[in-house]
Amino acid sequence: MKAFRYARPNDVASALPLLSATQRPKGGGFDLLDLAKRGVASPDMLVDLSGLKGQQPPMDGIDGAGDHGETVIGARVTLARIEASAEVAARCPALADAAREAATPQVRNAATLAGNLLQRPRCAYFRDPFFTDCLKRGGSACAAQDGVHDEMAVFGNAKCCAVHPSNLATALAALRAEVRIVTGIDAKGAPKWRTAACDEGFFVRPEQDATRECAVGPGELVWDVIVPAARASAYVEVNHKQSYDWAQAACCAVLDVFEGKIRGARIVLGGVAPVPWRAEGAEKAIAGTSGAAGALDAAAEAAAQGATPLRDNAHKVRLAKVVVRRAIEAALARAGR
Amino acid sequence: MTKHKVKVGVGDRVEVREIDVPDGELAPWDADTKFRSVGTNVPRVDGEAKATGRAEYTADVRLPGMLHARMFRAAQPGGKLTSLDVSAAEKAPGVRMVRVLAQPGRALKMEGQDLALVVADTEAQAEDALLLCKAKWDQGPVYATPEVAMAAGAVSIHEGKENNVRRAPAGGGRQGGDPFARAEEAIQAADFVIERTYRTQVQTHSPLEPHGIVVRPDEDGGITVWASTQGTFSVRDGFANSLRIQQPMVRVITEFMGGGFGTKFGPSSPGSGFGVETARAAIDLKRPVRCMLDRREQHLCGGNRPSSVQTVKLGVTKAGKITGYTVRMYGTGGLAEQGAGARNPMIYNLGATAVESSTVVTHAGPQAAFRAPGHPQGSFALEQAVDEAAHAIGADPLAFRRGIDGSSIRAHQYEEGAKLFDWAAKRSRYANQKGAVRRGVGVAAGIWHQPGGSGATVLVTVHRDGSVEVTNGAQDIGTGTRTVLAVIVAEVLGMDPHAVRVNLGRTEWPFGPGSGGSTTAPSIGPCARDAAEQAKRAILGASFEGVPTASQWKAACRKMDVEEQVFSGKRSNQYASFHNGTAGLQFAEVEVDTDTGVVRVLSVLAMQDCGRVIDRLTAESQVIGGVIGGISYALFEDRRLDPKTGRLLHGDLEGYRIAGARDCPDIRAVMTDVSNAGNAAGMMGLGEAPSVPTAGAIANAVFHATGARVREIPMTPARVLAALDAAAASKNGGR
Repeated sequence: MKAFRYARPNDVASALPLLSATQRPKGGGFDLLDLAKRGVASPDMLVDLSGLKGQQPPMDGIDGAGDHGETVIGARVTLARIEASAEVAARCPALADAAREAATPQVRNAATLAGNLLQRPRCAYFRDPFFTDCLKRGGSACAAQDGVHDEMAVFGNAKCCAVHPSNLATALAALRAEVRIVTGIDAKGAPKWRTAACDEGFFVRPEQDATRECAVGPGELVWDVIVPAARASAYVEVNHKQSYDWAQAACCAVLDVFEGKIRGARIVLGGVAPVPWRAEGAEKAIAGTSGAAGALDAAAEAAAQGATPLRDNAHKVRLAKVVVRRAIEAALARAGR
Repeated sequence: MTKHKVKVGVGDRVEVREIDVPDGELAPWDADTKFRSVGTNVPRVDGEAKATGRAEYTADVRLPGMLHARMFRAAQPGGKLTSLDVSAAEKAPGVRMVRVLAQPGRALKMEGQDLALVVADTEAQAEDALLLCKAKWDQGPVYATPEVAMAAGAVSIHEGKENNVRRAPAGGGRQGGDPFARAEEAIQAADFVIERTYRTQVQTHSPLEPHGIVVRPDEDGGITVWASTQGTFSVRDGFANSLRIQQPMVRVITEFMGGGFGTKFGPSSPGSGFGVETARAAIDLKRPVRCMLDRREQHLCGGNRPSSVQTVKLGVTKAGKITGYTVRMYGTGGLAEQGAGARNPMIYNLGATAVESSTVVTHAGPQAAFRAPGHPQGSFALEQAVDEAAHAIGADPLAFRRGIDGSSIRAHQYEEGAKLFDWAAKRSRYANQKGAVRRGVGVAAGIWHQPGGSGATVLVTVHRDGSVEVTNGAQDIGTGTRTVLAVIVAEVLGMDPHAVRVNLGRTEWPFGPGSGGSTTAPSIGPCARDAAEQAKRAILGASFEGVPTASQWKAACRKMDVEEQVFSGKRSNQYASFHNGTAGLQFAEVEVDTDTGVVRVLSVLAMQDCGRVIDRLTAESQVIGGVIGGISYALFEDRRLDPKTGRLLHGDLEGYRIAGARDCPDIRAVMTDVSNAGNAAGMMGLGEAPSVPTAGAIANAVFHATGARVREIPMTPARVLAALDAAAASKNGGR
């Protein structure tokens, strides 16, 4: 691992100027240190965010007092807190599901919301610097396309078939959450903001730019995430192992249910595409139904439309259909309560 | 020889036998012996040290002036080294030495092949310097799988050989002639013929503590070595040979050890000479040097269990007899030219058998002995083939096995196990399930054979204050050897096992065996009893009956006319015993999500014999560990290489999946107490046996749950779904 400097600024005004392509923010540090140890990332400086104070809303808060029922969750909030939060459970339970399914209790106690969103893919070829030509390193070839790819993407995989690794990303995309990002510091020392939508613009497809998965600039800092309320929401995933494993396929369903009818749905697949993968066909298929078996089948089939499985991963299309059904069923069960 | 009447057997199958016990051996403990400590639940004597972190492992050793070594390794196989430039590394901060170990022209046969050893003041500096070493090579073909290495036109990986296939002599031909022809004739005479192919993967040992060593050059010209090893004396002898130092001048210390599973013998590791090179560097630099492999190196150069592709053919009669059984198999253990032979057929009466096996050389780190070498892969095929035979004639798989299994111990285990597991009720309860999530049960048998042997000496030292030490140079690899010795000595001398001080893991102490093949406990346990019985006779007098009270013992010790007395215990090789092997039987209950192909193991009941159980807790722990390893093997572990480059895909324990806490079911270990004679303590080795049957039992349970045979491990969702599809297709096809 290349040696790096370490800074722990006290406020956002002194943190922002430190950030660059090689001076990276550190939350829980899980993915960044792992990438550094493997030689995939080689930061010159880690900017530890744990000391940032004074800015409102706080970077480590969960605030469910929003006017429209939205919940504001700070970037530094740990997955364990999201999992255990009564506010999250009441307002957007799919997010708690997604946090609960991540990693291990030990990891969840220290890994953060922003770190989970911004983590790099688990693709074995990307995580091994030997494969210098990897598209994610700015290269021109994907070794996984005709290599070992049975756990890789089955949607949107023509260029790069690494799947987006974040559970929370899938849930936040379905929940239409917004990420608030500090872009710089103005002349008065106050942060400048912009907002990116999780269902539009925040996640980057390989065709747009294969070297990154999220539209956060090198000098920018994710501050918090605003999650609209969606009680009839659920996140479901299929894992090979029950302990500490990444999803083979995941789905978050957010339903608008009125008097037993599904008026509208947001259905997003995870673990099957380079970005959280919206299943619009499934949304249309389930809308206007009461979620009976036939409608679930139709939604599952519609979700599989457009899949482009590789030589060895066709089973993931099947798993995608299963999680679509199960996520809708779980979300419906919550609507009934 | 002296004749002794000994009561031997298992459960209610106990009988008196007159057996010849070698001169100098004690009469063995038998079924009539009354015990105070032996066979009870004694918590590990070193449990607190391990749980609190006080226990010092090799990885923890820090010596004054110690330097750190790391190996610069080949990035991929299949080429020839054209240049190796270490000049920048030599100038890097803190670097004391870079020793080049490969010259241009050297064939690169595996990722991780040793190229240069870097020694620096800190581990980080050594690692930084690795990044400055530059190798270039001409890339040739890569043979990452046995199929590619066997294909027509593939050139030999090893120089001077015709191809990459090493065929072992055919087995099963006891009567001469062609065993396959004879077995085939017997198979064809049966009512049903079954032919199936089973596949198992390459599994790495993945000990929590990787291979590693700290070598300190001593002023007397010798060295002191802290080694993470299963064989302190194998490390001593390896260094004595390679460095040309007398054996006693190589002092090896292994106080605590973080797992080996068969791969940690000798000074280095199966795919690397790092240990010997570390010692050479230490001697040249006149400083202690530490070298621990990292996780990727451990997967690459730390040995592995070879893969297998086993095609089994058998004939079974309607009456439940297997008439003949043949296996044609190959597998790969990387660069190793032997060792891929799966142990199949075993255990059952299979009629005329014939086995043909080949080890295929591939571009990967060499295999090493791995917990019951050959057995888990052989058992996976055998136990499913036997189950398929039972299914063909409509027999209950457990009843079918009883009919072809001659073991009297397993006869007991079939009976007891079926009751404890509720086999019959579960078989029928899970017979006609309709939902997506289905449950099933399966059974499989396991064997091992390790009675230990002679060669070791165990010392019992009695101090004037009554305290007792037991000492041997062998290591406790984490299985509980320390506690086992304490229990045996405590039993004889009437002490609390936790009051016995156990000294293990130094070659300055008397020889003890390497912990391979389940040898350690049965080899040194009986010696400890011998030494303790000598101590009792000497201190309390030959006429003393029974065990002393604490005050009797103290009073007698105070009267000693020397400060301490040392008693030296030995054992002979195994003599006549009730049973020569160790018998085991495992029941698994699984849940299969037929929508996703995800298999979860709900419970495992392991019935396991190891002769006399000394400490029930550590014995059960050993069995539970074996079952967890078996679950991990059946469902998850898979050492995968990129087919094009030969590069290891998962150099960690994340992509290389190992069973975690939520993957471990309710595991019940039930020790089958067998009064066995054969040695003074009636002990048999336990290490390997419990990891053998698990994968087969799980596969059989998956079949019971779903009607689908998963003939390849690990059972990934993709493979389980494919098996479910195949089962559905054959049903719809009307077969």
